[in-house]
Amino acid sequence: MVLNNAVVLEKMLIAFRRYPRPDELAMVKAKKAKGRDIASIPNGGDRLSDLPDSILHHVFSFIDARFAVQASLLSSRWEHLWKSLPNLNIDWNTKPLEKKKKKKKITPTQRNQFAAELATRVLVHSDRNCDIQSLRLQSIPNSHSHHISSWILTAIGGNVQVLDIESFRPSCRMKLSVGMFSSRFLTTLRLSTLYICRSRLPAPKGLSNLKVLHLKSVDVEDVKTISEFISSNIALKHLVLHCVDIWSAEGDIVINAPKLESLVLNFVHSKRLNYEKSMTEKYRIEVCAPNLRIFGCDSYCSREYSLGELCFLDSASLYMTIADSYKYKPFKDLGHLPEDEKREHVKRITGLLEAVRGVIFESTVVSGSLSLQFHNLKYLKLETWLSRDCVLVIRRLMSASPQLETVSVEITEKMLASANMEECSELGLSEECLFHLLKVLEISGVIGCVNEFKLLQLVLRKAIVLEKMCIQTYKGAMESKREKELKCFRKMLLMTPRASSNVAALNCIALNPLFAMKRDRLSDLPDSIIHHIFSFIDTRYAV
Amino acid sequence: MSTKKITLLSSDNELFTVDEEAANQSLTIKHLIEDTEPENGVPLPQVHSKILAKVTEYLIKHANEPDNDAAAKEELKNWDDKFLEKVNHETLFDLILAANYLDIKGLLDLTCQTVADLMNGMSVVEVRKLFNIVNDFTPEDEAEVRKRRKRGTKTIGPSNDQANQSNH
Repeated sequence: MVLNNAVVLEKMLIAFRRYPRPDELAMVKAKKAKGRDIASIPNGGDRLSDLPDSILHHVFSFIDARFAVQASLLSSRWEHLWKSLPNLNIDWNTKPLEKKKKKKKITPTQRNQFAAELATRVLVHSDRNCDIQSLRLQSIPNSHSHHISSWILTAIGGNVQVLDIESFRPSCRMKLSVGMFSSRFLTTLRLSTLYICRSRLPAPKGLSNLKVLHLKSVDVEDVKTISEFISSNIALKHLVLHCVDIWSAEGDIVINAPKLESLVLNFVHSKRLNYEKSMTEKYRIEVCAPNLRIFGCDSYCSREYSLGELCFLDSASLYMTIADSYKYKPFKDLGHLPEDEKREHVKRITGLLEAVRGVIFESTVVSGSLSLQFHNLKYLKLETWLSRDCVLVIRRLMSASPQLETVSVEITEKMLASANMEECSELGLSEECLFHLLKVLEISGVIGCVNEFKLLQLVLRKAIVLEKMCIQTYKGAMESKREKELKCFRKMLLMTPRASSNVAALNCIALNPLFAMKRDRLSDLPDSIIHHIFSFIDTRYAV
Repeated sequence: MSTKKITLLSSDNELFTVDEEAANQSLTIKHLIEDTEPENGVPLPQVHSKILAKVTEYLIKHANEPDNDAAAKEELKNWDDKFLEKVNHETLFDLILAANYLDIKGLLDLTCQTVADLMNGMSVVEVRKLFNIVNDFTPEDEAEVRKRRKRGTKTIGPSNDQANQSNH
C-alpha cells in the first residue's frame, strides 16, 4: 500500500506545484484571514505542525512507522511524537529513506535489522503510557521470527485492538502459539503465512471481543488447534479462512460461532495444498453458525461439508473445482478421464450442494415443509456443472428459499463432459411450488444439454414474476453438432410456456457473437415471427 | 421515502442545505440535530463557507455509499482523487480540521491519507521545505537527537539478536 502510493504521490506533487507555495500564500491569506477561526497562520504558515497530535497520529497511521521516527528530526514539535503513535505499520520491504542519499548500498540484512530494531524500540522500549490501537507488521523475514512473540505480547499488553501480522515468504513460516492471543480488547486479527501451533500454556481464554479473524496461508498443527482457536472467540462476526493448511488432518474442523455473520472459505489457491493432498485429506468441515448471513466457499470437491441450520442466510456463493493440477496435465476436459474417476468427481462436486440439501431434508422430516430454510436468502451464485443431482439440488435450494430474487449459475468449462450425463427426469414440474420472488436468472456456459433445458424450463414455468433471464453460451470452440443442438435448444426454450407475464425480457445471448434480444417491444409478436428473427440471426452467424 | 433537509450555517453566515442522510455522516452535526433541533440551521462557527462548500460536496457524494458494487466503489474512489487534486495545502489543512471537528471519518481518512502520501518517501529536509516547517533545533540539539537514535539502534539491535540466537 505504501509503495503503491508512490505514483499517486508524484501526481499529487505535480498538482501542488501549479499552486503557490504555502509561504507565498500565507502573506496574502494572513490579511484575508482575520474573520476566520481556523485559518490563523503562525510560524510562517507551518500548518502541518499546528495540527493536534491526534490528527498527526492519524496521518502517520497511513505510512510506515520508521518515517515517523525519522520525522522526529523535523523540529522540536515532532521530536517525541513517534513515541505515542497509536497505529503502527512496519513493513520490512520499505527501504529506509534517509540512507538513500548517502549512496551506500544497504544490504537486505541491514534493512531487516533496521525494521526489527524499529519495531522493538517503538513497541518495547519506548516509554509509552498510551494504548496501541493497531499494529501491522508486514513481510517479517524468518531471521526475526524470535521477536514476533515478544512484539505480539507487548502489543496485547498495550491493549491493541487490531493486529495484522504477515511474514515474508510462504517458505519461512513462523511459529505462533495459540495461547498468546488472549485479550479483551482485540477486535481484529489477521495472520498471514504463519505457522500456528498448539499452546503449551493453559488453554487460552479466548478473545472475548474479537469480531474479525482472517487466516491466510496459515499452517496449523492439527485440526483441534484451529477448531478450538475459532470456537473460543465467542463474539466472532467475520471469518475468512484462505488456504489454511492442516498438518495432521485427523478429525473434523468445527467452526462453532454463534454470532458469525459472514464466512468465506477458500481452499483452492494454495500451492501446497494441491490436488493429491486434498484427495488424501479426509477431514470434514463442520459449520455451526446459526446467524450466518453471507457464505462464500471455494473448495476442492473432495472436501466434505456439514452445515448447521442457516435460517438467516442472505447470499451464498459456492464454487467447487476439481484440482488445479489438471490445468498442467494434458487433459482437455474430463472426457479424457477414466470412467470411474469421472464418476467419483461428479459425486464430489455435488458434495457441498449435497450438504446443503442434507440440511433441507432434515428440516423436511421435522416440519413437513420445504420452505423452512433460508428465510432470507436473496442471492444465490453457483459455479458447478449440471449433472442430474446438481439440477435437483438447485431446484431444492430454490424452493427452500422463499425470498430468492437472483440465481446465477456458471457452468464451468472443465465440466463440459457433463453434457453426456444422465438426464434429469423427475424435476417435479407438476408440483404446485412457485417461485414467488425470483426475478433474475443468469446462466452461463450453456452448451444446450438436456439438463440445462430442464432447469430453464422449470424456472420459466414456476417463476411468476421473472423479469430477466440471461443465457450465455459456452465461449470456447464447439463442434458443429453442438451448434445444431443449441439451435434446437433455443427453439424448445421459446416454445416453453411461461408463468410470468413479464417474460418479455428473455435475454437470449446466443452463440459466440453475442446478441442480446430485448423483447420488450417484440413480445407482442406471435412466436412464429420471433422464430423467424432468431433464424435470421443464426444464418448470419453461419455466414 | 421522505428526505429531510438540513441547513448548515458557516462561520461567515452562509447557508448550505443538504439531505439529512448526507449530513448524518458527520457525527457532530448528527448530535447537534438530535440534541438541539435548531430551527435556523445548524451553526458551525468553526467552519468557513469556503471549506463548508467543499465538505458538503463530499457529504452529498458519499451519502449513499455502495455496499458491494465494485464499479460504483471504483468510481467513488476516482471522485475522491479528483476531489483533492486541485486543492492547495491551505485548503487541505482546513479540510482536515473541519473533518476532525465535524467528525466525518471518511473525509478525515481521505485528507490524512493525502498528507501522508505527500510526506511519504521524503527526507527530513524535503518535508521541512514542503510544509514550511521551521527547524528550531540548534545544531547541537539535532546532533543529540541523531545520536540518541543511533545509540538506541546499537544497543537494542544486534545484542538482542545474538542473545536470542544463542538461546535457540
